[in-house]
Amino acid sequence: MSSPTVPSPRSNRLRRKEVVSAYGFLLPNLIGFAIFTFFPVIAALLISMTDWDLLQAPTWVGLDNYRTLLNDPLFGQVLKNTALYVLGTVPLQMLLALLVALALNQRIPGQLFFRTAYFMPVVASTVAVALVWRWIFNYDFGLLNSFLYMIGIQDPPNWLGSTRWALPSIIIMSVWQQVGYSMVLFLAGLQGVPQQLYEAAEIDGAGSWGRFWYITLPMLSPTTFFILIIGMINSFQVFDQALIMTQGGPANATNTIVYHIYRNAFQFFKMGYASAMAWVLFAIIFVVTLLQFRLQRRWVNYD
Amino acid sequence: MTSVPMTSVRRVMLYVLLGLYGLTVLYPIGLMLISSFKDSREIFTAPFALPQSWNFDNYIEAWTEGNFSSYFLNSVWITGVSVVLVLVIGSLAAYPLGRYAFRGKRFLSLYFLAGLMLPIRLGILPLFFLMRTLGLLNTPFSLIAIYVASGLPFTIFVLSNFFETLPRELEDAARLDGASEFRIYAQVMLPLIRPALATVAIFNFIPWWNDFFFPLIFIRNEAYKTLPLGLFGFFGEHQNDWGLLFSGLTVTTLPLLLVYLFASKQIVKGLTAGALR
Repeated sequence: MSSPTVPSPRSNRLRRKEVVSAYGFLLPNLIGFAIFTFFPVIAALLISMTDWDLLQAPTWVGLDNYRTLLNDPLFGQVLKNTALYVLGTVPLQMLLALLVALALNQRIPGQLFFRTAYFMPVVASTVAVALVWRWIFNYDFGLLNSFLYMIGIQDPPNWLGSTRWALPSIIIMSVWQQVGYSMVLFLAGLQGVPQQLYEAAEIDGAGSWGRFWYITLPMLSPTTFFILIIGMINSFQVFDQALIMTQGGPANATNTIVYHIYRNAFQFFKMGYASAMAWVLFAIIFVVTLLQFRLQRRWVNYD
Repeated sequence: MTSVPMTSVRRVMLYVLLGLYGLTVLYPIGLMLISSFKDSREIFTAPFALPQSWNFDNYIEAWTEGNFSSYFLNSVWITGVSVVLVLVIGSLAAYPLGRYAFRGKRFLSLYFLAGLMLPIRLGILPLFFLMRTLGLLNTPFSLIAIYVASGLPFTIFVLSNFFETLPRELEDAARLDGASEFRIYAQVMLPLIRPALATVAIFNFIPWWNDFFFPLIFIRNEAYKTLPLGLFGFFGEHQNDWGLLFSGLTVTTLPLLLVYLFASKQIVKGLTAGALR
């Protein structure tokens, strides 16, 4: 947010008045925002060093919860599930979104129709959509398996009911829901690429692949970076799908970090332990995001 | 990419692919709509067909016995109040950040920007405890508080950028007329950023309408449940009555799809406003 700080002929009295009213305007925000966003994240750190069931007063246990986490094989699996979910969902939806955006960017008739349709899943309620997909994935009467029978596949997978396919099923549903979001951003990015660059490249004899590789991709890199960051931060917190489609099962195959936190806190009342997990996740998201910002210098092109 | 004339074969291929993908995207949504008019038997015997008759029995049952009228009203007023509040409070902060020069401005801008990336769900336990202490647990105010707080960074970010672009002269003229700083904000500046207010309103409205996580944790009382949470409970009770379920899914989803069809420009604008800077 760069600002036009040119206070040239304006008097000092006015400046002082501005400072006072500035903080007057800002006060409700500063207080509300701190209480309901920053404070809870920090407070979670304190709670994570206690043993607390919400009924009795918390007792201080230091780093015990973190030590327990390290030796908890279930938490290991939950971490792995979440990582696989992120690694599956984010690149897949980005790739699909880029392809769709490139296709739609060719100023074809019907572009508006396709764009509107593709974005629809983004505004649909995740709970509703997850329930629909639960039906689509149903082993006995689901649409997907009906379709697979129809094209001659005799033993289709038991999607949500098998440890092997449950997580991929949730990834498929999430990709389906998120592509539209990234597509709109990619489209906006594509429209920002100056046309002259393509014309110049054409004069230099670049083919369509060359133009894509040397112009489109680099010019699009700030958009790609933004989608990557937001996509990862959100995907690490996946919850609705895990609760609604599989309840984390079968055999914890789709148990994710936030779902595990939810269960420990509100079903087993292990507040301290759940907070420790929340902080581990916070640390993971923080480090991954920081790493992305470091790495972006190598591939993101700002000018 | 745009200037190359496409051969007709490529063009047909492109449309086939776009159409196939469109089908994949729209099919589950269309399925939900169509199935909501069928009874369970018809759903299983003819899953791909249009309903034999368009009967609204499922809707009537969901709306009355299924309590969807209450969920719907709750969703409407909770998201509505949150949107109004975030616009009022957010524009108050955006105004000085966009227009005044004062010490600490840069820091405050960054403070709110950091909120854009803060994974707020991770503070859920302290939030739960905080709401309990404030006596807000199991009331709609817990949701309103969390929505407004989580919507502020984006709101402030977009609105302050807008305030920045307004001409100085307007403000100076109003000052010469003796208007107070608050009146300048409320009566001169605020009306000028109406388009930005609309963008922010719609953009905040979507995730709040669809939110499942916070109601799940804060709301137990049936009377305060919003659509996604109500739908979840409804599903638990009517696992096998798919026709009825699909009508519940449609009641939850359709309002937003309609909002989207009418305001897709605003939504796309909001999306790109947050991203491309």
